[in-house]
Amino acid sequence: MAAIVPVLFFVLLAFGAPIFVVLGLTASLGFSLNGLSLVPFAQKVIDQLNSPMLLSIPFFVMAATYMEKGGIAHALVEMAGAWLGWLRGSLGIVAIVACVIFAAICGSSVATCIAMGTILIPAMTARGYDRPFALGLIGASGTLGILIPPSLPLILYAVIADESVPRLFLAGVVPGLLVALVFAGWVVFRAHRRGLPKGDPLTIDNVVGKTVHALPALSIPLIIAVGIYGGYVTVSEAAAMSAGVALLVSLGYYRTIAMRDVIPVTAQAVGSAAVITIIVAVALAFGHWITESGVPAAMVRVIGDAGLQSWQFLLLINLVMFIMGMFLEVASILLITLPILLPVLPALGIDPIHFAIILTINMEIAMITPPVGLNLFVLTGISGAQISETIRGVSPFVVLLIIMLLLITFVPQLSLWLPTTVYG
Amino acid sequence: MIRILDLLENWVVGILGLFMLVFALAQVAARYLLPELVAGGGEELIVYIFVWAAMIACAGQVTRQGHVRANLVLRLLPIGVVRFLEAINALAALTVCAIFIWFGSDVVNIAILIDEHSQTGVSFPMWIYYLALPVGAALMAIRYVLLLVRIISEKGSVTKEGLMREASV
Amino acid sequence: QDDVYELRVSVDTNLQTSRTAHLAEYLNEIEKRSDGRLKPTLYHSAQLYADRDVGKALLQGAVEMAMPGSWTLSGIVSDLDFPGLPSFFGVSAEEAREIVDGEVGEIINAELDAKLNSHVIGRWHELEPLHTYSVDKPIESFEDMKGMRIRHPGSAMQSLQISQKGATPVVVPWPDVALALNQGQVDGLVSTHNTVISGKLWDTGVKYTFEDANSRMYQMMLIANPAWEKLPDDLKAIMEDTWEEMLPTFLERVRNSDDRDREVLVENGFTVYQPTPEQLEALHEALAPTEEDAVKELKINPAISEAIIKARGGM
Ligand code: NA
Ligand code: NA
Repeated sequence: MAAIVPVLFFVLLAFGAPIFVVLGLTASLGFSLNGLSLVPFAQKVIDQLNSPMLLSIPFFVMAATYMEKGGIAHALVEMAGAWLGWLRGSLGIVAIVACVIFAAICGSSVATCIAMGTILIPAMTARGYDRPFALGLIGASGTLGILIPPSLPLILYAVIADESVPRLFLAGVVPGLLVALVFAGWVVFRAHRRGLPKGDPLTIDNVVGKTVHALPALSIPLIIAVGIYGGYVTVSEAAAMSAGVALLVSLGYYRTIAMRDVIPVTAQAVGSAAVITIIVAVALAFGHWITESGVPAAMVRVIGDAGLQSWQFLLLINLVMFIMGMFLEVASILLITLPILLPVLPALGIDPIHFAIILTINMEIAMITPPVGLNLFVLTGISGAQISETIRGVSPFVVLLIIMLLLITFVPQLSLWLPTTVYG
Repeated sequence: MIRILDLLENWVVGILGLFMLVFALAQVAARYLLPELVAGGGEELIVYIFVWAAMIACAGQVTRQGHVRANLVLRLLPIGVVRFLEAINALAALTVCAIFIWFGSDVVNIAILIDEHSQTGVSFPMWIYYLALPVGAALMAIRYVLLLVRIISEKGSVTKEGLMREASV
Repeated sequence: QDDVYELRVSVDTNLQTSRTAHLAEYLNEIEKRSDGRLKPTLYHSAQLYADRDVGKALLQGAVEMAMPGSWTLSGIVSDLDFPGLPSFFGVSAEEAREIVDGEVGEIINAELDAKLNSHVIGRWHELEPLHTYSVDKPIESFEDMKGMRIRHPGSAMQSLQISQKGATPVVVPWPDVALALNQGQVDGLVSTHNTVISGKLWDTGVKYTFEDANSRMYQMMLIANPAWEKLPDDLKAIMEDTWEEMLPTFLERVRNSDDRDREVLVENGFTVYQPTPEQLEALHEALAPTEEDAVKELKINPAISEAIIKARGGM
């Protein structure tokens, strides 16, 4: 009987029902099969939204929208172009650098993807980059949003695992930069093989001009960095501040947003945040049903009974996460698996901070693997590309991420060195 | 009717969004300028405002085809089949909306019945917050009914071009 | 007859906390004593519900049992905020026990039954006492707390308790606590030794604790009435008797583990201060005139305030 549920899930998903409808109907059916009324289902959906942590999403999306409309992301990209234009495939490198800077402001991979993709994908295709490559590069670099701190999934992990947030944040820095470096290496390699264009040659005038023009834009990451790290505000407040500053700078300096645009543009941002929010809410209710079905618990029992070594366990977890990541949204995966996986860690001698980073890289992969990958949908939406094109574009980056995942899985020092150095 | 909806989905959502931004910034400012005034609880109100704005905005996203979905298979199918499937999708969405309206109303009623308030100093009556679910779903349902009517009555309502340029997020 | 009664049990803390560990132990025991006729499944770490939401889940039949913290249900039963009353301030663990096992517990259990349609099994389990922790400035007496910004999770009761000592309450959700402390957004927080250890808060500069026992809080084991009424009398008896039998051991463990946790804090560089009985008494007396306002502010049944005052032999 319960076999209907996955069938319904795949049929709806394949025939283009909105994701929140797919998850909502499947979860409703699941709740009903468990003999539950749907009142707890509706209650679960609305209760999941009642969380201050969730506020980072609309504020980060608002910031991204203002930055995109307001010429800010544009100014940042132009500046990076002025500095790096002499490189072959410079725009690709610029894209990665811009994503890394943006990831240091923003805790969400989707928002990073939207802000960077809106500017960089048209720019890259205009300069002769093939579109799948441009889509793949932004889709993959966008996922750095959750590995380079601040990071919403790492905050979620801290809550579930009772771990220290600053430790987790610091643990993501080195792996994040490493992944960016590997992506950059891939871009350079591709650029030379395909003869991708250079940008503007390096001239003092250009560098100074573009940098000065970008200074108000650069003030945003600065304000955020001071706010969060040296600073004085919570993560969602930092998100609100970046949105506020982005709006002011766009209105007052770049003047690409007029007063009368403010409300419609804000409505558009809330709309973008809303479609993510409703999916998260329904996905968490869906995760609730999966937890209750006992499937994940049984799976972990099997792992435990098999008497695995820690490296075998981690490899297996990576495989399981990869498969789950194809179908489920990040918060659901963490909520489903962590309560069951965390108690297993001490026995296997696995550091929970290291484990968090392993999971986060898995979540990065999940964002860009079909059939359910939020970054894939986002990119397809903003570029007007076919989803198959996007999937083709990200596949080499999925391979690169898997290689990095294995490296970071088996070299714990990459994650643990920085937090241990700072906190002992 | 449709003009009222448009107004609601654009202006109300925009104003609520801007209001929550200003509110959040004011809260940060107040913490440093007038710390004795800030007992906390502001963030809680911002969450309620956002969820209301988001639920209303979800309706607007129906018109814009803004709800995230995988339309890969649709793009490969003949347009007549796509039109049929789009009608099914609208019906599926209406079912979810109906679930949210019907059972969401129960959620609201239960909260009124047990007189649930947030446990903070704000002591916010939770039914007002929960009401966002059935109301948002009702607005979305109106949009999906209009969409369904269009799919059934207008032959050219579903096009390959529309699928290609479908703007999501 | 051999009917099997399945019970889904929700709790929002992990297996390392005393509450969840004790609940797990208890559930195993009733399954054994009932020869498997009671078949509980424990969902810990908020796998199903956060405590804040579990009351409604019981009411709506989404779980059969739960053991939420008293403070998380005060949005529904506001009387659960009674530990914030001045009359309850400075009470010892033993005194507090008598109060909650007596009239106060009875009144509140009846309210939980009425509002959540759930039965409270046995006496309440208790949380380790809540203390105040600080970063740069040691708190050696209540005087030192004046003007300090103290973090709490956002409950009306704790906000009041912090203000009672002249400090400024600041709401910071748990995930942001480490950052808030690191950055000096707050000067300290209210928490338990156990929580401070599990969050490794010494990483964020917390190094002093003032064991002001500013709050004593409880966890109650609830079973939804439809599930409870379905049980045959012998199984009901097993559930209640087993709990009564095990509870004294559990409470003793909570108190011993708190002593062990204090040692862990000291090993991690903490300095521990305690108020003298005279200081506690002085503050208790100073707060007494505000009892009526607190009763109103926290929306507490005056009978509870009276019962506490009576049990302590006057204000
Ligand atoms: Na980030
Ligand atoms: Na995926």
